[in-house]
Amino acid sequence: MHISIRGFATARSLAALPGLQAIRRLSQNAGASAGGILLVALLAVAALAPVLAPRDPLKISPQYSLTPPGREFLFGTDQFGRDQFSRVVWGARISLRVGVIAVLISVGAGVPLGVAAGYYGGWLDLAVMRLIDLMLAFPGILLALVIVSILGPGLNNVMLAVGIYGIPSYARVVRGSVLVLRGQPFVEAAQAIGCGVSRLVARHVLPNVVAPIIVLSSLNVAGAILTSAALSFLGLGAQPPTPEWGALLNAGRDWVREAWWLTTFPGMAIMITVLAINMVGDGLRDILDPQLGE
Amino acid sequence: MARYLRQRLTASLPVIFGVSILVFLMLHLVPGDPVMVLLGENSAGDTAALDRLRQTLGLNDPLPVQYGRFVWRALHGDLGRSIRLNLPITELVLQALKPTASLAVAAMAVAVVGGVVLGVTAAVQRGRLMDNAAMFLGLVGVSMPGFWLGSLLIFVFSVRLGWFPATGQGGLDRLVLPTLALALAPLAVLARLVRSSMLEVYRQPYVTTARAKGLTERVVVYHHTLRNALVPVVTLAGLEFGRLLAGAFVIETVFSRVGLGRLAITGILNKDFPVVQGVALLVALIYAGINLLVDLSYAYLDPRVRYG
Repeated sequence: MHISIRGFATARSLAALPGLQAIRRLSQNAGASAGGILLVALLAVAALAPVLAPRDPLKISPQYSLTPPGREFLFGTDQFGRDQFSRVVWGARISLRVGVIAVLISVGAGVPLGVAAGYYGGWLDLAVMRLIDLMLAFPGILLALVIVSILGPGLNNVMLAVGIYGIPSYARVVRGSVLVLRGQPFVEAAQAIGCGVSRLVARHVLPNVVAPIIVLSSLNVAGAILTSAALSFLGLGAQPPTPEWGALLNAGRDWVREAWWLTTFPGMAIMITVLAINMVGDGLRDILDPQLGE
Repeated sequence: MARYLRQRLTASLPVIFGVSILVFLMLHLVPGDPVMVLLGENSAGDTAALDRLRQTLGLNDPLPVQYGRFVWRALHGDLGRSIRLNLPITELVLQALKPTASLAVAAMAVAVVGGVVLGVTAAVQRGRLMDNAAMFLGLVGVSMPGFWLGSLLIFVFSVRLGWFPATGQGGLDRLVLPTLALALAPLAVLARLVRSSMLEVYRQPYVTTARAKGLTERVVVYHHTLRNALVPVVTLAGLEFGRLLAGAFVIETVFSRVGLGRLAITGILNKDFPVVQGVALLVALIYAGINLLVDLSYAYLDPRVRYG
């Protein structure tokens, strides 16, 4: 019991912690600060894409077809003479947005499911957990593939599929925390003085699960970007000419012998983005929730 | 042991039941009239053709009847026919399973061996250069898209150096590059877990006892620590194998291998739902089988489970 009370005390004070202090502690972690700097740079690239991209990412100029990287075209051009640098820069917007929206879908569905299952228990808990087991019965990208095959290909459907694919992790973590919280004296006290369910959940339960949710989300954004890029790579997500990184890799695959730059730069962009987010996520985990990690 | 086995088997039945329902419902969850989706937009006027397909697929019966038939046939090894290829799906799926399974098993072997070696090295050298290097490699490994690594491997080892063929299947040389591309991510995940699990076990009193009675560090590491550190690793390895099986779908595309991935993805793009259903069902069943094996391996690794 001691351990859980101490654990929640930290989580509680951290949940109330102003963002500034969390950032200060994060900056003492070398990996996290390197990742953070990279991530800020990437966000800036995404935000400033119209300014940074020297050319229109969709403009076809056959006379420049398959130009190698150089002064004129930093990352070279594709078979249609489109500037690969501009396409990768605009792709940052798409990939980051897809990752964040997919995770918001997972959180939006997974947290209420976890709270409901953990708080009410009984048949509701049983039903939710069976549903989660069922989702987890389709390993890895297969669940997302099944959902995309039902909804049809397209970037929005991929976002939704990847979002649904992420629900189980939240439902499980939140349910576990709520189960422990339900027996805590401060929750029982709130119940005893007649606190309604919605207020109880909003004021006393949710603040205590914020830390694991933040940690999980930061790592899941990285995973969501990878999965969406993989689906686009398979031709199930962003369709040409959209400069999504996975789709760029897919298009460049046919030219791997002639034009190495077409696959190298989008792949590097995915890796750097995912690496940066993972580094920040690992740092956040060390600070906020040591028990969650291995 | 028999009781434990029986318990585990019964526990996996509801999941398999649920999987069969979900896979069965796929066709019915598609927005719009499934028959129209299958035949394409311009079939709207051709009521006769629509009715005929509805009849062959048995879509006029009530859902429970359809589900019963689906399960009955699946239990007899009949998963229906592909709409586009007009071939029995069982045949298609089993044919495609072989290349995918060989790729997944090869990658799993590389990931487990590599992950354990890397994780143990990192744990033994904790805080030193090797540890930091191994853990950075682990971080890069989980961040690197396998399909990109695949393209890079093709470019370096096949286009430039000409050591391995880039595409196709058959022969060990064609398996090397896809195996590496597929193995990196699970290798990195396993290495991280082996390291932290080893460090956890290092703190146990029995490790101190083993050292105190003068055993060599080698025996302590491999006999006392690693064996006990492997229990969580086996759990994760089971999960990772499932992910790897699905991940093979993507890697197959990179290396133009004909396997379950090709079958499923062309199925999705051609709206050939029965094929996608067949692949999803097969992979979910294999995955359930692996999880069962993982549960049974606990009994082998940890006697407390066997006798508990």
